[in-house]
Amino acid sequence: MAFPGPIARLIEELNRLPGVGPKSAQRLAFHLLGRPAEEARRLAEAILAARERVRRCEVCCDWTDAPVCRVCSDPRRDATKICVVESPKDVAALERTGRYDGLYHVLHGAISPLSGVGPGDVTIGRLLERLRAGGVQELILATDPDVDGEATALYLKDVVAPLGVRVTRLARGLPEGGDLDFADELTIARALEGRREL
Amino acid sequence: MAERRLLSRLYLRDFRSYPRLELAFAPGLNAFVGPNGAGKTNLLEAIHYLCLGSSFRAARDAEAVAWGADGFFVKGRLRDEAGDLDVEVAFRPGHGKVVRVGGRSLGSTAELYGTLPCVSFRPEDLEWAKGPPAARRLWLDRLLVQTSASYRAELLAFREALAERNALLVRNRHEKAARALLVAWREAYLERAAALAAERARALAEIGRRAAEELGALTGESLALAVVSGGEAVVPAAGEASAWRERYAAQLEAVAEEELVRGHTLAGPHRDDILALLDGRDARRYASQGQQRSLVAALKLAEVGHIEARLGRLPCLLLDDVFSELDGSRRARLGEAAMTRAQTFLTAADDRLLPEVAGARVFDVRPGAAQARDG
Repeated sequence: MAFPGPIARLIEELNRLPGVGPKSAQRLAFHLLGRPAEEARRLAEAILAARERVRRCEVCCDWTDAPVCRVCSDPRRDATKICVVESPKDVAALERTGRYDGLYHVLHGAISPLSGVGPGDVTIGRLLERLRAGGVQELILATDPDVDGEATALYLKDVVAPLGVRVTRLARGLPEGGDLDFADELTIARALEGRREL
Repeated sequence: MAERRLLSRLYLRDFRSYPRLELAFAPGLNAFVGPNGAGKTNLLEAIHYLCLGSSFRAARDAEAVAWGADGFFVKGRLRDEAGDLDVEVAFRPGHGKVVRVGGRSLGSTAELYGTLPCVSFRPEDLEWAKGPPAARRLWLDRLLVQTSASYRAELLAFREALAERNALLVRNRHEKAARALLVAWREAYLERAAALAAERARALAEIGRRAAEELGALTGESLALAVVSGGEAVVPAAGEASAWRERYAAQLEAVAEEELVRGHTLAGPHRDDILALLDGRDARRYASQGQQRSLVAALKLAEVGHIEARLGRLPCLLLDDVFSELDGSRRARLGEAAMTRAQTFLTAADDRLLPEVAGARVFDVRPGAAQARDG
């Protein structure tokens, strides 16, 4: 079905968002049209403001609204540790634990030859600069436990080796508080592989 | 007694030779009878779609769309102790395939596996021993994805690692990749390859024991199944991932130069073969026609036993024109062991080739239509 131009364009733009199929895009578009104009303006402004004011931290590449993010500029953080993650979402997840007091480095992706993402397309170069600047004793690799994340971690381990920094990898295992029979098969298999003495 | 889940109804729209068809099945034997080219195998293929979300022919989904139609739709009603469950497979070229179970769309076809487990037996299977290695690997994959969720997950992870590494090797031909990148993807690939191979070897050992028992009962011959990796037979009991990792690492080392030239991963589970030893002799080379048939019958019975043991549920049997190929004891054993217990769908060119089973339902098949015979 053909919608009038502006509606069709809105649906098309919404459809580009991750996780939004053609049907959801249509529903969202009609929802926005049915609400007061003020609401739509607030949403549009929020999108624009975020897009214009948020940028990558000059140090760790996480999203920030200042040149250097809050974590990197916090003197209480332990600057001898850097935890490498794929995305800003992962920083938020680690921060929620309240158990990590070091710094981060956000790669903005993982190496994937199939998707044409090479080491130069993620922020590995910037990470190496930080390590060469000195002061870092431990690099914690917290990339996703999938195939791309594993390969990215293995790559980093190799290129970082000459710098003499201790490299560790997050343990893989079962989610805490979850039932064994609720975990997916691969998680259980990996947890079994990584079992330890009690 | 294992639970049974039966296919009670089948509905087709624009599938192969059938514009529209609805059939109600018997809990035991269902026989499709008709001349060659009438479309009997298409019915088994449709049932296979309900079991594995794909054809058992080496066919793309688009080939199953009826001539001139814009897509196909296959729906089956499954019945067990808990009640009815509908499985639907809808395909439209350009839009892809949607699989629904109980009205819910599945995120991937893999989630369907095991819902209605099946064992199919087709004329090509008679070539199991002497056919190409790829056919034997496919045989084992199709069985194990139905019975093991962890095998499904390992297989997907392995395929992803293989595709990524191959992409890197291809790119490397145009623009030299950093050594660290090649090392990282070799390690990541080895991890997944070894995990899959270990799980496959463990399962093959169990299936091999069942098949050996069946063959012993049929012909008295001894049978052992093994994996052939890098030209060397590996006892399948060797189910340790670390051993497989070392094995594949050594193989990759040996083909390193060639891989860089060809841009393709040349060692791993996708290159291994499966070997049957009949009385200690390699069936690929030495099996006679009769021995091959006995071997396949034993493997099929082992598949049924494996599925029943793992899932606590009998598979349905899809027998395409092969019952007539088996004779005497092979036929009796397959008939008695499987067909009298499991729901069975078989095709035959005429009534004389039908086994005598009480409560069987016979369908007369002609191009575009199939109808249950009275009585």
